[in-house]
Formats: sequence, C-alpha cells, structure tokens
Amino acid sequence: MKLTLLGTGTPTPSLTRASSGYLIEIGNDVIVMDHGPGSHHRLLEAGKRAVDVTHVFFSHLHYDHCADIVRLFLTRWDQGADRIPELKIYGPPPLRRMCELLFGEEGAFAPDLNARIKHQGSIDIFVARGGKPPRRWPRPEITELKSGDKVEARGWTLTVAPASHVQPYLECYAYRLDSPEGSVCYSGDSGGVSPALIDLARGCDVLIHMNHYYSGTEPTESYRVVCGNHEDVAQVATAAGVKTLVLTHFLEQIDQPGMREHIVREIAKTFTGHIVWGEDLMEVPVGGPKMFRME
Amino acid sequence: MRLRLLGTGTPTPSLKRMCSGYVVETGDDVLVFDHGFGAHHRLLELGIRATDVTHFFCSHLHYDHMGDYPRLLLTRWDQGAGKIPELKVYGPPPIKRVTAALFEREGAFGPDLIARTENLCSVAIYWARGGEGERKKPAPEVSELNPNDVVKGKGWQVTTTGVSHFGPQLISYGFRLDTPQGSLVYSGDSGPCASMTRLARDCDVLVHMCHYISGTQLNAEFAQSCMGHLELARLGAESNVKTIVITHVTEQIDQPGVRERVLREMAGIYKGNLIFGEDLMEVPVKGPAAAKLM
Repeated sequence: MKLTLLGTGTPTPSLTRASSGYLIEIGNDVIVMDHGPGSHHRLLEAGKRAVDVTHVFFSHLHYDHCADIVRLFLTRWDQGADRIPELKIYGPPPLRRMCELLFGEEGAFAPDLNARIKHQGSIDIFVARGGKPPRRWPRPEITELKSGDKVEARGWTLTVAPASHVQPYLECYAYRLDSPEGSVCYSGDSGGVSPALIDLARGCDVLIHMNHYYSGTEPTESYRVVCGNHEDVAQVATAAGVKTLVLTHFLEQIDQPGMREHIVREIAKTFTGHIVWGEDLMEVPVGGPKMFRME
Repeated sequence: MRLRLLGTGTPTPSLKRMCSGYVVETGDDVLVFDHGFGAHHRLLELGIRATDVTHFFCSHLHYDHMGDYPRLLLTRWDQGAGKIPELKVYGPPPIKRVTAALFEREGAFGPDLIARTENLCSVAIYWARGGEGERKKPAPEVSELNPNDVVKGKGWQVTTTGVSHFGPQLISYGFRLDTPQGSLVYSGDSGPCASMTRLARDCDVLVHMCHYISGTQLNAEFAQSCMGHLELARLGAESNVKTIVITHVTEQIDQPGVRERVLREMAGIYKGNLIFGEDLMEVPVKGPAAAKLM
C-alpha cells in the first residue's frame, strides 16, 4: 500500500498547498480521497493519470474537497475511450445529484459530452484512441454512503464514520481503510475531540487529520468543534492510539517557520507516536518512518 | 496591455501544456479568455489571483476551454468576500444554463454554497475577510453572445464571430479585442473559415489553434473543425496579421525538429512574426524586438 498526499491546503489559493486530496494505491486499485482544486495537478505530478484512478471517496461536498472531480472525471472518460471500467464514486448525499448536475444529460458539462459523443470529428478521435463506436455517455457508479457503512473491495475494506464539521448543512464523513498491508484513517474536515473519530481511528497505522489552525485562536467556541487544531488533534491521536499522525489542511497562520516546529513540539507533549507534517506530493511511510543507515 | 498564455495544450493531460487559457490585462481590467483544466494553476503561477479577474470570455463549451470555470468562480467568490464586483461572463449559449447548473442553489455546487453562506463558522470567516452583513451566494453576470456582438469595456472592446468547430452540437466563437495599445484576435477552436479571416484583418496578434500537421487530418470533417499549420499560415497571410501565436498544440507537433519544421513551412507562406506559444509566455503585442546586447 502506498499513500501519497496530493493536497494539504485549504480553500485559500496556494502554489505550495493544493486543496484537499489523498492517493492510496493498493493492489490494482488506485483510490483518491477528496479532490479539491489543484489536487488533480498533483496527481499528474505524482505520475498517475486520470485513467489509472478506480475509486473516488469524498469526505464532504465543500468545493475545496470535490471541485477537481470535474477534471478527473472528464479527462478519465475522454482519454479512457470506453476501454476502462466506469469510475466508482462514493460520498455523502447529495453526491448523486451533484454528479447528475455536472455530468448528466442536462448537466453543466452536457454540451461538451453531447458534442464529443455526436460530432464525427470527436468520434474519429475516440476511434483513434482505441474506442469502439457508438461512444457512450459516462455512467459513473455512484454510491451514497451513511455512517457505519462498509465498502468491501479486493484486499481492502473502507469504513465510514461521522466527522465533526458543518452538519447539518453538509453531511461530513471520516474514512478508515483497512488492508493486510496497513490501516489508514482520514478525518476529512473535523474539529474538536470527536468520540466517533477516536473510535474509527483506534489503533490505526496512519491517521491523516485536519490541523487547520493554532488552538486558542478560534473566533468562536463552535468554530473549534468544526475545524481541527493542534491540541484537539493531539488528544484524538492519543486517545485512538494511532501509530503515525499526519497533519494536513494547514492555514498559512501555522504554516510558518518556527510555528511548524512549535506545534510539533506541543503535540509531542501529549502524543507519543510518530508525527508527520504533511506536504503536497509526500509519500507517507505507512509502517512508520524508517531511519536509513549512515554511509 | 499585457497578453500572457496560460494554457497552450489540448484535452490530453500534460504538465507542460495546460488546456486552453489566456489572460489580458488592460487598464484596470483582467480579462481571461477560456479557462480549461490547469489554466487556473497557471494564473496562480503568474501571481494573478482569482479575485483580480474581472471578465471571463468563453469561446465554446468544450471542457478543455471551461473546465476550470468552477475553480475560478468559487475561489473568487470565497476569497472576494463580497468586496469585489460579480464576475462578468460571456460566451455562447447555453452558458447561462451551464452557470446555473454549477452555481445556483439547486446546482452542483449548491450544497457548498448553502453551507458556506448559512453555517455560522463559514460566515465568521467571511466577516474575518472583510465581508459585511449577510453572506450572499455568487451571482455572475452572464451574457450569452450572438455572432457579431460587441462587448464594450473601459478602453477596450471585444467583437464576437462564429467559427468552424464541432457544430451543430456546439456554438463556437472567436474573439477580437481592440484597444488603443493594440489588437488581439483569439480563434477559440476553429478550422479554416471566412469569418475568422475577416475578424483577424490587420490585427497585431492572432492567437490561433494549430492542432495538427496539415495533411495528417483524420478526415475532411476533422479538417473543418481543427486548424493545420499550413492553413493557419494562409490565414495569417490573407488577413495581414502582424504576429501569429501558435497554440492548442498537440504532441504530434510539439516535438524537437517538428516544431522547427512547422515554423519553416509556415514562413514559406506567411511573412509576419511567428511565435510558438508556451504556457506562461508573455507575448510582445507589438512584435518581437531584439534587445540591445550588453
């Protein structure tokens, strides 16, 4: 199992930190968790093509977690030329309606899809790519998940739990993926010290957790239970007994020289496992960091 | 006036050439022409923020020309916090319906927009960014253009023409921008057509699709919808264009030696300046000039 961070930023535009995205390769499956603006660019930089992706999981439908589905989906469909299976997409409701509004026959990209399916010039390109006419409208396999659901696949199982974010406006999930090669838990966007997230993450190899801001600087009490901060994240990771904590979803507020180190040190007071300060395109060692021999 | 190329590629994924996008800065206005996948990343690389963009012109509704429209609009709205005017959007029908399907309350990003405008934590961020009062959803000013429509801005005007690309499924336009500092024509996607020959007449810069090596087209229909290099050279000569910028370049053309062959063959027909476009390139609107040796 290989875990790569695609986007470790927020909605704030940044060239160093794209909006949320994570990539897990396991067996023949290429799983993307969240795909905010810029994370598809990172996927390309990581050497993966849209056509390689088999599964997409959305934690919630804030645009910084889902807007690059447009790029992933259309590129995959166009380049795939009907030679690859339909994309499997999972997430909270109204995921199905969102996909329909984007890619359905009355959707935002319907004019494009209709032209590419019907115009002879586009059909010619489709054939040149190895497709066999007629060219078909894409039909992604969409699954709307609920808390407690499990997705069983070849060599891995994914479990769904509620995150502590902007409910009831959006349904928000955390995910845990278990496989013989290790276990990875992703908080989605989550704040406070959430018992449901602690239960989900219990004993996992890697917990990827939103660490949005510096504890104590929250504008309101309710903000704190909506967005992750370093003191609460340390408590969650400690209570869950995770082996490695990957921090992500950083505001510029904390992504500053000295602040990073200060936060790592503060988390280490509570949490005794490995701490990883996430970066875009970082491959996270699922079995924990290894020290190389001096040579 | 500054013209910079954001994306000079095609739908084929590439880290070197993003999908179509161009940015023109004139006076206080920042005009984006097309915004395909990756073009917004290039905009960021140029140091231009989504909130700086004032006008978006869309040549046609193929995804490689407008797939980054959601990124531009949502980022601009979120970061703008109600302190900047709504984005002005121009393009062929049904761009109003496309915009509604994306950004209305019942649209694809409706759940995000409802959450960001109604959840008190999101509203607190809006206030922290300088927003005031109730947070409103984005309401871009969308104009559906007809051929020959003219859009007038402060110190500039854009003229629309119909071009030859993948009709009747899509309506495709080319645009001409005239300012006191110069004139730019952008083909959108088009094969050879008389309307583009007229629109480009005597312009300073023609940014034009150059999709394939003439003679290698898949068939006649393809050649009507996409431009080959020799047809582009003939257009430049006939319209008396001062500079041609080659863009929308496929891998077929974008190879060492092939690029130079394309330039040499075009120069046999077209006597003006030739520029082989690259992402992030600033195009000298008044033509290239050798700097003094020092």
